[in-house]
Amino acid sequence: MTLEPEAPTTSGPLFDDLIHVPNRLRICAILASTASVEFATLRDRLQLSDSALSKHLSALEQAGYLQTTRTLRASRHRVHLALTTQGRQAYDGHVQALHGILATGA
Amino acid sequence: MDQIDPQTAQAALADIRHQREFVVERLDTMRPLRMSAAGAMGVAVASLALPGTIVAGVATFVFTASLLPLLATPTSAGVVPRDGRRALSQLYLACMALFGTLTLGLVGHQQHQAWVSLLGGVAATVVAILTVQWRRGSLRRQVLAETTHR
Repeated sequence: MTLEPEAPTTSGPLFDDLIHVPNRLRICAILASTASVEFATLRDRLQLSDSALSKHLSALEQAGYLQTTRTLRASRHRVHLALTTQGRQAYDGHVQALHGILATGA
Repeated sequence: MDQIDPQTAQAALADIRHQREFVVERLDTMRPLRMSAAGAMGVAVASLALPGTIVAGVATFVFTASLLPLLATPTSAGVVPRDGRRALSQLYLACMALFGTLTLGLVGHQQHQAWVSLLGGVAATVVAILTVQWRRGSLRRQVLAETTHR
């Protein structure tokens, strides 16, 4: 359980091409609703190989949207992934932009 | 940006909701264990109707140990919930209510009033089940609301 601020993190609707790639959007959707997610959980959910998932994560990490934490549990390294504040803002802005597109097109 | 059409936006939002439902599902994986913990807490408090210091010690231990599966998310879930300050305040109140039922059981034990301990046991089960249900609903609302309130 992690304490998170409840205040909205978005700075306005902004379509983000980096996030909109389907698997990255799924990754962000899962991470945005949690404090952190384990790498293996995400990999199994998205049915991606380790390398394919790592590639998407690297892209998000390079943009400053993602942070990784490595822990050792039962002699196994586990990687936990979480969105940064910047990542949450970008994701929230992207979701708002999607809602905007839907509202304008309807 | 390359403007996308409303159908694509709708599909993306549906995909987001689908992923959030997965998170809810993962957070809910240990529900049977949580319900068992709620039952164990009730039995522990009700057992204070029996005399003896050892009974009181064991009952208190079982009650406190049951708090962990009742409230925590196991590492096997692979996700850590994102709790807001409000949710934590409500969780704190639920813990206060739960410890209130334990106190009731201990009072019955000390005063040799078995019915008070039994009442505490029933209250502990009810409060624990309500806590499990409330926490489940609270997490579900929090996770799913983010795509529906905009």
